[in-house]
Amino acid sequence: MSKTVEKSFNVVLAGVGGQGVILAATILANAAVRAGLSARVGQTFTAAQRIGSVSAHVRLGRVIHSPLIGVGDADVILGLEFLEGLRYLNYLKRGGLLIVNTYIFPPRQIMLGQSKYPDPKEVEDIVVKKFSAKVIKVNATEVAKSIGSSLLTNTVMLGVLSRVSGFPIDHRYLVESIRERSPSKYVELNIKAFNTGRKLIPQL
Amino acid sequence: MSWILGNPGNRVLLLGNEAIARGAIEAGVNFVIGYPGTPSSEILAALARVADKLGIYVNWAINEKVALETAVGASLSGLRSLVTMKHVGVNVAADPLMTLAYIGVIGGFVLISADDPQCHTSQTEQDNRYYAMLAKIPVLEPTNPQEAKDMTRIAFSISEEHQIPVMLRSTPRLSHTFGEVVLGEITKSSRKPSFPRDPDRWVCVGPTALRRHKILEEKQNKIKEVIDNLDFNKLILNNAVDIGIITVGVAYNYVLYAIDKLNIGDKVNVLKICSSNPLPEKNVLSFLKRNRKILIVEELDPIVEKQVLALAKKFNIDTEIYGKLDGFLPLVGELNPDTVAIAIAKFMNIPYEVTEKLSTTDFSVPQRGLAFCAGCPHRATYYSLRKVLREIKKSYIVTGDIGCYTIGKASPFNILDTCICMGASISMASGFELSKASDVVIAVIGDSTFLHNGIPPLINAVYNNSKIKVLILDNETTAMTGHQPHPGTGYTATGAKSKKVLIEDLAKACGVEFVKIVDPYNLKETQKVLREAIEFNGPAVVILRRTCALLYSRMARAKGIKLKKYAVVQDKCRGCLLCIRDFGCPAMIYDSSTKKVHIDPFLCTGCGVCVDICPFNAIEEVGQ
Repeated sequence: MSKTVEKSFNVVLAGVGGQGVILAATILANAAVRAGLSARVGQTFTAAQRIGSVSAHVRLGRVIHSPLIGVGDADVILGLEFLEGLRYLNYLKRGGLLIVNTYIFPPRQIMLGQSKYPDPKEVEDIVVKKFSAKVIKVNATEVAKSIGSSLLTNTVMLGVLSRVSGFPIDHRYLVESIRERSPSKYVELNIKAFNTGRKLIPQL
Repeated sequence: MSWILGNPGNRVLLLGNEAIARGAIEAGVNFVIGYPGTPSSEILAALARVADKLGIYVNWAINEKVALETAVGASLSGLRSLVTMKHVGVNVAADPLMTLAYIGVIGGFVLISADDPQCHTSQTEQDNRYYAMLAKIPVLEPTNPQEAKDMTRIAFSISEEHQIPVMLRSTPRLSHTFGEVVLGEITKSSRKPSFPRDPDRWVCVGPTALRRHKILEEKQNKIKEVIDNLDFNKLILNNAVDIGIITVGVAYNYVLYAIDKLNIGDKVNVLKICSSNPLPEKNVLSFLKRNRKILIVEELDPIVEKQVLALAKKFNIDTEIYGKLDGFLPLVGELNPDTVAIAIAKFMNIPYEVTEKLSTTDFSVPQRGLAFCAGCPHRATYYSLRKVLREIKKSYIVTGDIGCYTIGKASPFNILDTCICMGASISMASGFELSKASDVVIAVIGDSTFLHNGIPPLINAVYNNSKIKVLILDNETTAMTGHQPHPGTGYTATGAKSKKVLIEDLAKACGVEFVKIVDPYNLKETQKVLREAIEFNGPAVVILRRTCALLYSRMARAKGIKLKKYAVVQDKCRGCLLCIRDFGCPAMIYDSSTKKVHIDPFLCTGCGVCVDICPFNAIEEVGQ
């Protein structure tokens, strides 16, 4: 049996119910399959249809079995919402990458003063020092709104992800996948959002 | 979703549940019925979308028992039949399932049991493979979407050949996992229904039942051989290695991941089996004989483990056998790559720590509690109910049921005292009321749940003269599982029209004299009716009818209807936070810099209930 975990590309996508976390994960996996790779998406959501924490484990590579990523094995955490991006930090591998949207959807307990936001400075410190990891902050929701709707946040973030070094899929497969899997009314906007996302950061 | 009808040989990304649907299509399924339940619902939904094209029957049933029995009728007519449900649904359908195993089937009969290790969206994490053992029917346990498709297909053949229902056991890590699937040939079915009349078989009582039981026992050995010879059993061997792992279903994925991570690919043998009932005995026996010690990795209960222990004893094999019974793996919760890696490391005596498990202990990310969606009619209902209960100055118990409204247990309402299973709100309420446990007993149940299993307990409450107050939260859909229609909606799974069954007529027909319908968005009227119901000297039913806000906004968007929008007049807002603390609408956003609340126009669905709860009249409609 050969080693495959290292050779796979593992992403934890996280966000709030309604942001399109699962759709983004599906678009990614579908693009991988189109590119001839193997893919798995494992999803986690709660009984609440909206507003709850939603996450998806996406694994891409030549041979993939497990739908879940082990703790400390994710190449990238892609947070569609700031707090949700931080929630799964324990999945990030050393030298990994935290790509996080700056948009915050405040939990009720924070608004009621029963809980506090994690200090962004402190968080960045931990990510950099403990994980030897990199943090990329993107104002994806603002960008999405400027294109047409905050609903496009997920594809903007996919655009950013596609620029990460070691990302195993050519962006053309992602565009095809967006075309195939996103609601027909939003196909062109999603492609535009994806391409805009690609320009938000330099090639890593 | 055209990809589930893709051409043979195509390699496509499918959800596990879509793969099961495709497997059924490839097997030439004729008849599909089920009841929604996470994580099973997408199977039937996927088939409903292509039903007309394929010319197959697909519909939701009122509950799992009815679904299974309906499918028995189809199978006895020679049709290939698929029944889908979640694990606890099989509890409801267990009665006919046991007898069905005795009488056997004609058209291939496959029952999907979608289990829920970790109770992601369920009240228990029961292991339904026990039902296969109890009914003495085979259970197939796929590892990934490809196997989900292939095993569904083969399940129909096994069922038909041996005239026995076959269970396919899924879990969220199969049902809700996407993976690549190579599609196979679709069998075009042209079966003409024909029922072979045979009362000595189909009227299963007394001597007939005993004779059928004997036939069922006689099938067992043949089926065991079939299962033993399936290619889905996989063996990975290393020369001169005498340590092994036996695994089944989804757990195989974690075993491979852990072996990889621990870098022990050349130090351990693996046997992956495809069924725990019947156990593929030949495969297991030869594996037992070649290994000096074995770890058994399976999701939920140690079902394979106990059978392997018994087998070793019977054949006098002294291989050491480890698993859940000795604590190598947990009995509670679902498996994952880490729990399995820890167990394998311990089993192999190699050091392993989850070294990277850092960070989230260094700072805490606030949890997002369960909350109703913006505009959810249940929020308005609970707001009124809590207000009325506080005012009446009587002791009360509120029994809950299974659905979105179970979120009423959580903050800010904290209003539900119980929730055990579908329909239990009404029967348990009767039990509390007849025990005189409190002055007032209120049952809260949804429309789909009432139709599923709420009618017999309501009749019983009337019959037992139990003065319970039943609130039917009618959002005109089966919301939590993804908006499936039910008899109260007047349309079917494929979107065809059907006779609309009225909940108010049912309640009256059950003998309830107080039956009233209110719109929960109208707080004043709702509170008035709730008070009347509580004062009424007898069982009372209040139907709180208002379409699910998610479903409504979706329909409105499709039809081009603009939703109303509301905003907080900033000058009038005093930042009292009542709308967040007591009402809990997620569209209400508190800005700590201005110390005022505003409404997120994207989340707001325009229910307008907040206008009536704001003590400072700060909320106004702002057009569309």
